[in-house]
Amino acid sequence: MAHIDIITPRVNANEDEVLVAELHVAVGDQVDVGDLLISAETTKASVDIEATHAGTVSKINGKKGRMIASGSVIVVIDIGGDSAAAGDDAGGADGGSAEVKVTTKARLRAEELGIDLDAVLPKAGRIGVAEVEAAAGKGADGGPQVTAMQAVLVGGGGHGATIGEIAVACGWDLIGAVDGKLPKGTQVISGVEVIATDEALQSLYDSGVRVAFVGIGGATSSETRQAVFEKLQAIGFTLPPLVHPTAHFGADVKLGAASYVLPNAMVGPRCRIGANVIVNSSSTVAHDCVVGDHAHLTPAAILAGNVRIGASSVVGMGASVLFGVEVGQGCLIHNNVSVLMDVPDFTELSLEHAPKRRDLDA
Amino acid sequence: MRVVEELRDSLFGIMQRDPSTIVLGEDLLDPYGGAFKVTQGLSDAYPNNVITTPISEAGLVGVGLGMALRGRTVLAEIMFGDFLTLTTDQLVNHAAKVKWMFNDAVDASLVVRTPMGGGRGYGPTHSQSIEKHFCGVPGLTVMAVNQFQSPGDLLKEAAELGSPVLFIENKIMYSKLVEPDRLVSYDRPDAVILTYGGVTEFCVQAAERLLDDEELTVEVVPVQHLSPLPADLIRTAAAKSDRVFTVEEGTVSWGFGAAVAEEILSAGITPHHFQSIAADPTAIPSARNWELEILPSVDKIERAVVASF
Amino acid sequence: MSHDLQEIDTDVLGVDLPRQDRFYRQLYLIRRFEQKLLELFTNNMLAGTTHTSQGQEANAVAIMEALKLDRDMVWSNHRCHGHFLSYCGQSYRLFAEILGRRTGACGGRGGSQHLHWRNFYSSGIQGGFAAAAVGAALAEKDKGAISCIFMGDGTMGEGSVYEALNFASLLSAPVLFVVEDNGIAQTTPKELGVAGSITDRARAFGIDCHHLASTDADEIFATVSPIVDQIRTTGRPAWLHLETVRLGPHSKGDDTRDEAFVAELQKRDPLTVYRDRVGDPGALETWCDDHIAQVLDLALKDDVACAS
Repeated sequence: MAHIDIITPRVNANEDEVLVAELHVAVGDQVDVGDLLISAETTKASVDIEATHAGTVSKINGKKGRMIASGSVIVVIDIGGDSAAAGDDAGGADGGSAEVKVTTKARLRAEELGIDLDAVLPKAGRIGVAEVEAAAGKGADGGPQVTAMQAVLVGGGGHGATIGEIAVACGWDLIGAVDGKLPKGTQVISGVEVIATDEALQSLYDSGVRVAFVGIGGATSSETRQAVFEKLQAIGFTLPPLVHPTAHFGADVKLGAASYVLPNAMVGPRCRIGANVIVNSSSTVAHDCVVGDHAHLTPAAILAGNVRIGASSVVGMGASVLFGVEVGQGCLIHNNVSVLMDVPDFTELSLEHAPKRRDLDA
Repeated sequence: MRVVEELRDSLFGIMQRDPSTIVLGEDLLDPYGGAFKVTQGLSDAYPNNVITTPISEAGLVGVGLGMALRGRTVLAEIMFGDFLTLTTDQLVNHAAKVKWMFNDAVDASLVVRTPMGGGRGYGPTHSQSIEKHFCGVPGLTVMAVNQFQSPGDLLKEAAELGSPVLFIENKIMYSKLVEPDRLVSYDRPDAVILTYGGVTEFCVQAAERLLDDEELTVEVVPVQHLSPLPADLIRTAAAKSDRVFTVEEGTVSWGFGAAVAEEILSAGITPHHFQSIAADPTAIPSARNWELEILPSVDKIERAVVASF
Repeated sequence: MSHDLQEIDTDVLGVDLPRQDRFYRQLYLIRRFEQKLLELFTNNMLAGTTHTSQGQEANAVAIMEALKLDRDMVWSNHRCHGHFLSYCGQSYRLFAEILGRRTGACGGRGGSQHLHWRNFYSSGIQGGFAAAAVGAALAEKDKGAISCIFMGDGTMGEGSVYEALNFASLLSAPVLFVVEDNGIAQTTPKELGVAGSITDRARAFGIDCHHLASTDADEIFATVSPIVDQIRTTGRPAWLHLETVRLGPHSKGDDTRDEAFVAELQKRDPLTVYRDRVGDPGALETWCDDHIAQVLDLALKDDVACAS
């Protein structure tokens, strides 16, 4: 989603801040151009801050009764549509990044307790005193010690095995897979078997497992994988992206949470890959592409430069998308199709049939 | 309520209680009401008590002193704290001395109010915090407001003291809200920051961030009485933590930090870590970013606290 | 003799004497008092420094006579003994002060240069009290009081004087600015220290300026009295340039002037000028000698001032 920053105005030369007198909107509200967002005051004057664009209020930085600096962002409005900015957020604080913040107090507490911080599980990307003490408590009880590198694989099928292998190759310690259909004990890859159904995810999280990988594919639709992703996120799991050691990466690529780049795939410079995307084996994403959340670029799919793929769209094996073409969201591009012009949202393209509209809800 | 409004209300209150009170300074008359508007409305309400003066800082403080020696309560305003140097003889050799050298037979209820501080790009002669040069002068009380303790109450206290007071305000603080509930006290904080004046806000912001980001409890203790220093307040605060910081907007040498260190060490309190955060030892540049670089900031305070662990 | 801290000692001032007897006795009292101080200093009984007003006594005597001592305020400087004695007659308190006694006018804290008694204030800083004299005059204007501030030709270099003049005129403060011009500032002759005219200095501020070159107490009184009346009536300041002589050193043993020049100045000694005008100067002198011996004796017996 593209967003617009509403800036706190400077009302007079001598005052660097304004007082937030009244908030007229809340996060999630729909606003139109000219709608009153905030009433602000200085010692001399009051000023109305209005929406400059229509959209959804996604963030409010000011608090009623508090001061806010002139020139700072006071409200953020999502105005819809894809944008490069969306890619910037993909690896953000929603659990996608593997980088963990350790608070100073947690570091001190870990030293005090003799705890190795690598063995402490972060919560929402952060290790605080509570996490250190939880780790210390488990050690002391003699219970199963859960480490920060332990993770659960969701989905024990073929794609699960593929993702499982990459996770292990990247150093993760898979404690097992959960799968709603495969019997417990089914081997997924060497050393990893199905340990429960996905009903058990919450209790796994509660026992200290904080990292999960989405092992669900989807040759024609991303809906199942999206549902799993959202469930894991809701529980609080950290969902790191994975890049196979044989994949090639250009400079300044952004990769969202739970997005996986499989063996021999190539992602060119400055690409923005959203969350929960599969860049499958041997697929090619040339420079400056933007790929929306939950999209699937299946094996050997080819995107030329500056291509945009909308959220949840699937690009088939051997399909190619010409330079600069935009494929809308929810589309299905069948195997071997060459996409030469922009494709509207929810369109199915195949070699055999005329383009038709997909109804994903059916 | 904002700081400027509290100070203004306090001035009105002082005037109401003692209608012989005199307020004098440059450009005080309404509708302008003073460069920073603290006296706005006062000359309309009390035309005989508000004197707008020539640009003559030594003169106006001296005239105020003469009135105070004859029993008036006088509140003088110096437009920028930097101009205090012009009043030095009147404050140091006369106002501060009269009571003692005349054997306690006289006193002077003279409050000299002035805003210090940078952050506005006013440059080398309009941005300094030079109050330390007036601290440690026997007979001269120096007070400094912050927006977390009532500035109006402090001004009332100054006016009622009956002896000369140098009352330090801060340019960028005038429009800030008075927010006493943002000062948080802990039994055993991870660090204590002793500070005063305009940078108190930076300390409070740093403490809030350190709690959120680092889970560190940092108690900010603003000092309103700079000279003489309240030894008990400082020692009690410093004894709460192994890490004691001082933050001041002026330069570090011969400053607040040194005075606090003296109070602490002489009482046998020896923190594991003591550090003074202050402006770089240079004049204050006009260029805005450069100015912000050399002055204390929330980031500098936060980094210093984290680095001490 | 009254030792009341709030009192003006009318006996010592000789308020009941005919004016000329009173003038001569005060002139002589100031002279002998300060000569005694120099003796004490030589005998190592006096700490610090002292600035005597020998040659300038008539200014103090005549101007105090022109003021209303019950309400007017006097602001003096480092050379203040004469002003002080003529203002309040508290010779015992002044001895005790300069000798560092607890019983001194300021408890031994102020010493020779920093005196306060009722409405009398002095400061050792040149021009330091100029603005305060203006403020005090404004504060007491509705009581019919005026401020009188004494400065010297050496004070003319101080910016504080001109700030005070600006305020006095702008705010219509009833202040008499007196410049006792003895022609030399410590060792610097006026020619090296003062540019332009002392007399006309205040005119540019819209203040009436007066000039008199005299060591004659009667003549000074005759000049000052109408100026004081005018200040009190109009509520406006005035400036008096009074050319006088310094017969002694600046403080002690620091007179760099030619002896012949100083000898010439002796002809204008205000005591010599005045002695012939009183019937029995010897009796007035004896009274003063006895009084000084008596109060000095008292002061010397008093406790020395100290912190505890």
